[in-house]
Amino acid sequence: MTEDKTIPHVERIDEYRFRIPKTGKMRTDGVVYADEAMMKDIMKDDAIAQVANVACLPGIMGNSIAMPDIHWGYGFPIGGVAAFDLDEGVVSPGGVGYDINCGVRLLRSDIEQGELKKNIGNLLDVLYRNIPSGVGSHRKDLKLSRKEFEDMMEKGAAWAIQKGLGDRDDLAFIEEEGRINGAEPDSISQKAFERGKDQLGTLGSGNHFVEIGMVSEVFNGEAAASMGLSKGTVTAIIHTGSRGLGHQVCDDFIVKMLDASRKYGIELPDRQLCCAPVKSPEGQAYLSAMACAANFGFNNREIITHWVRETFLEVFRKSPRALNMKLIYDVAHNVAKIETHTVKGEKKKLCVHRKGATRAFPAHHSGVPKQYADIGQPVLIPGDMGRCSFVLVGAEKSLEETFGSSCHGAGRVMSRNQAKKAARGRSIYDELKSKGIIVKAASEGTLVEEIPDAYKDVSHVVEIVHGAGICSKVVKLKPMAVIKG
Amino acid sequence: MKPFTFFEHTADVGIMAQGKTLGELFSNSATALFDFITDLKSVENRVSRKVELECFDREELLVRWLSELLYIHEASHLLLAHFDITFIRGGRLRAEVAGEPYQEGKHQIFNLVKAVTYHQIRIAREHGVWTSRIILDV
Repeated sequence: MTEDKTIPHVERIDEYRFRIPKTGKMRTDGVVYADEAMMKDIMKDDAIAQVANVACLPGIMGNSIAMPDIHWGYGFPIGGVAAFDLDEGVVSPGGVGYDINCGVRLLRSDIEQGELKKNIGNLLDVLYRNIPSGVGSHRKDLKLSRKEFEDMMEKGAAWAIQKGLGDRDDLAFIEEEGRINGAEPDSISQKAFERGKDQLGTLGSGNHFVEIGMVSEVFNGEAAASMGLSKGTVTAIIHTGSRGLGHQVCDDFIVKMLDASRKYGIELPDRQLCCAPVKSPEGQAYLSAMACAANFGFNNREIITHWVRETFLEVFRKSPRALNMKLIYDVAHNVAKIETHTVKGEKKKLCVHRKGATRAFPAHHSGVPKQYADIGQPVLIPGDMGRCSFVLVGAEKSLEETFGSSCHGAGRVMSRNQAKKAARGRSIYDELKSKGIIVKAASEGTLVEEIPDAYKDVSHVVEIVHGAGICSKVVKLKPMAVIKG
Repeated sequence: MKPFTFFEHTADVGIMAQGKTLGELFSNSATALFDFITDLKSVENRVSRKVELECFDREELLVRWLSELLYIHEASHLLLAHFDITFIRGGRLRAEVAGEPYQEGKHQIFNLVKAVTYHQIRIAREHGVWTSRIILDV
């Protein structure tokens, strides 16, 4: 297999795609969605070698795919998509990542822009008070027994709704309706439970956030109208995942998969790529534990959504009907799922790994909510806190080329220390304020690590998936108030 | 001999540790992990825990050791600052670790560590000194 440090040969396919031709132990080509300018950035780290490494794994179908927000990850690159045959192929915890079902959801509201602007400072303060964020934070009113915790992991987001911490109408607008099947709580270790037990309903730290903003530009009026969006509509984005539970599940299964890789004779250039055949006991146990963590992630975002809605009620003193805070969609961007795709004209069930990649099903696909049947599944692409975010919909080519997948965000270009250096002597709060964005972060450290300069320009990333025809732009969102972990 | 240093790795952070013995290397790696998380000077030796591990080889042992400490830290809200390796050979380790529960006002948390990774992990012995290189997902 390709060593991590060797830079593989890359050739241009068209304006938006590059190919890493199959060579050595690669079983298939790698395909990277990028333009010439972006490819130069991508080549700066080892991510391309990682795309080639993934192409060496047994049972890979189609290409080893990378999205334009690709950057170096553990084993698999971030921004990677890889689908495996259920009989010949493998499942790998490294193909999902530590933050299982990290994802994004988008809400809209009928609140007027003027009213939002008048109350924005207060709104930010109350959001920050109501939603636990930062290292070690949790709400004392939400602690679960092991039994309740198991129930929550099995039921998915319906659990939060049953507990009065969500809205029944939300379910249809969550990927997989907020529940990945096959979640058996016995597959979760006591350690994973211990790490997750008081973290439900917490944002966490790092790049996780709640962002209040508004629609600043409309590209596709019809699709925007189906989502209840038009220029000036107030929105809220929630970005978080399965917290310590997901981290521990990944950790536990990397240990098991290292043994499994030796047992099944799978050659690994990097231990972080460890995996097991999808149908092996180890593979099935991982998929079950991953589903448990993913369902925690759906619950986490549903509960935080509930608190965002409560915050709006508290600050604007209007009825829920007047606020009309509907969930537009919720997507997972770190997950492995069994999906049906057409390969060489034949329908096949595959294990699709998306690590820092979003599902992007086109119009009339059975996985798309009825309300969006004619426009396609909403794809939510958050940018950094100083620029903008995008709503897109899945397009036809996603099924033909990327197993119904697209990019997930901007992608980092600076290390945390580089970001700190770049932020030295600057007031990030004031810089953002001058752009009309107010921020509250659990620590100054997080804020400087997350400066806009640390990320690729999300508009550039979005242009590529739009241009390549795997997604199509609907609206652009401008941030106004952000809480960071 | 510096017990440990940190190095940059894309969005994450790595630890390079040294020790005259394998036990000292493991202890210094653990100190580095908690030095990244908090101010070790503020952590008193009030609660202790025993750790016992067995796995395939030294490299896996180092990841498992630091992962175990991270688990203790996150599940029990404990900050650890003292690491006594009582036995280490091949893939086996026994240790006693100590610290105290996190207290707001007394302790500061600098960083959250999601996980300890196997990526490009290295343990070597050169000129009688053990060295290691390990990357944290933060």
